[in-house]
Amino acid sequence: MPSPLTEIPAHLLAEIFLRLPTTEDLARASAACVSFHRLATDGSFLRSFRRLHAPPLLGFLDYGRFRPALSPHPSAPAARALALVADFYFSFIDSYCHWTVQDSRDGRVLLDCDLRQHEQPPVFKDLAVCDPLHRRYVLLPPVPHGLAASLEHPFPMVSDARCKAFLVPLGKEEVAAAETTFRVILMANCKTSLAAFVFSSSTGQWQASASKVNLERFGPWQARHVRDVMGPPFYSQTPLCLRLLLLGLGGIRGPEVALA
Amino acid sequence: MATREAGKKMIMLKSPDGMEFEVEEAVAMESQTIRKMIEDDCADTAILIPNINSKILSRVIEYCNKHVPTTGATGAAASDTVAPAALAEDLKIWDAEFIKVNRATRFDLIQAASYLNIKGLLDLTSQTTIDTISDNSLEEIRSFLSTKNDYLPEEEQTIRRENQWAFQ
Repeated sequence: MPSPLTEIPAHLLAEIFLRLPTTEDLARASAACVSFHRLATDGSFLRSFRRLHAPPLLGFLDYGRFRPALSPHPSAPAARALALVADFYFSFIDSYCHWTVQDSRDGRVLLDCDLRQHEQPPVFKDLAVCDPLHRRYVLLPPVPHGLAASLEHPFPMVSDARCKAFLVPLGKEEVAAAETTFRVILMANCKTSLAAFVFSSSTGQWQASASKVNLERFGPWQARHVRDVMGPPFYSQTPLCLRLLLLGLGGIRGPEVALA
Repeated sequence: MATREAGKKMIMLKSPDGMEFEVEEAVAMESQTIRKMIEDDCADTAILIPNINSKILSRVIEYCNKHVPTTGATGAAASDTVAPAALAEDLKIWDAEFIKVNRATRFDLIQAASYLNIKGLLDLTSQTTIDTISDNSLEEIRSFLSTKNDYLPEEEQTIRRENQWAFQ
């Protein structure tokens, strides 16, 4: 018997789908027919969907290993799927370095380059930001000598243990818009002061943050404290992850594609 | 049908099948679309509501009538006698009864709520639909949203494989 209902117009379907409680429900509905799939993977629909649904936590990166959320956590199936398709060994980064995880959030991982044996420790290690799901990465340029030299004299004063890099959390709107931009803060803990440099992927440049902090006044825990305020490292499902899981996995080839 | 009360401005709404509904301005302004028309002074005589037949329009007005005191800025002191929580609970029960309609009517209501921009009604109608389809099988989703599986067999296989995590 033919259905008495004609097809639901796309904008009404969007109103309905926006209210699906979870991304799983959306993924399931998208498997019903081609037009549902088209809607569920449409950029502007996904932006609205993300505004209403915070990305679920999928797991942690712990000493370079991805620890997916386990059952009965509601994200466990998605986390398992992520573990299967993402590359948490970062083998897609075309570089001689062996990378160590420094931070991860919003689907991005901040890495620094391990030193080779007998290598003279540099002032700042090489840094990279990558998206292990889409296998995309950006090698950050070195902090300009002029900026680094402005830290303190005599230069260099910064040792590895006193230098910490982390990712700046994205705002809600940035997450919703699936922004591919990111910012990295590099805290340099010198003998008598604390300096911060900010790298922004939209400018591709490092900048000194507004003010130096006098350690004699604030104490040496400042850098750690700032780090704690920013939150512990975690790997949450990015908007991009969701999109990929919905779109299918055909698009993840091409490790040369840079993020920015 | 609304009766004229002293001091209350009335608005005439017309459905395309020729029915006219006289409603209080505050009730009509539950619809952001109509509110904009009134505020832009496009509503001096009667407002024709296209695409919404009298049966659906009367239900929409019924909904707005019920919901206007709680959301209206005038705030007629209904809360003096009834606690707000009890009032909200009462509305919820009323909503649940209101939305007990067949599928076709519900989609007409969604369409009307979307056109007239009545957030509460859009939430209610869409949410009810979602409650019907979530946790249902693909076949049930298709049948409820009246669509057909138009994937090629190999496409469907790929989609199912890639979204496997959502079916566990």
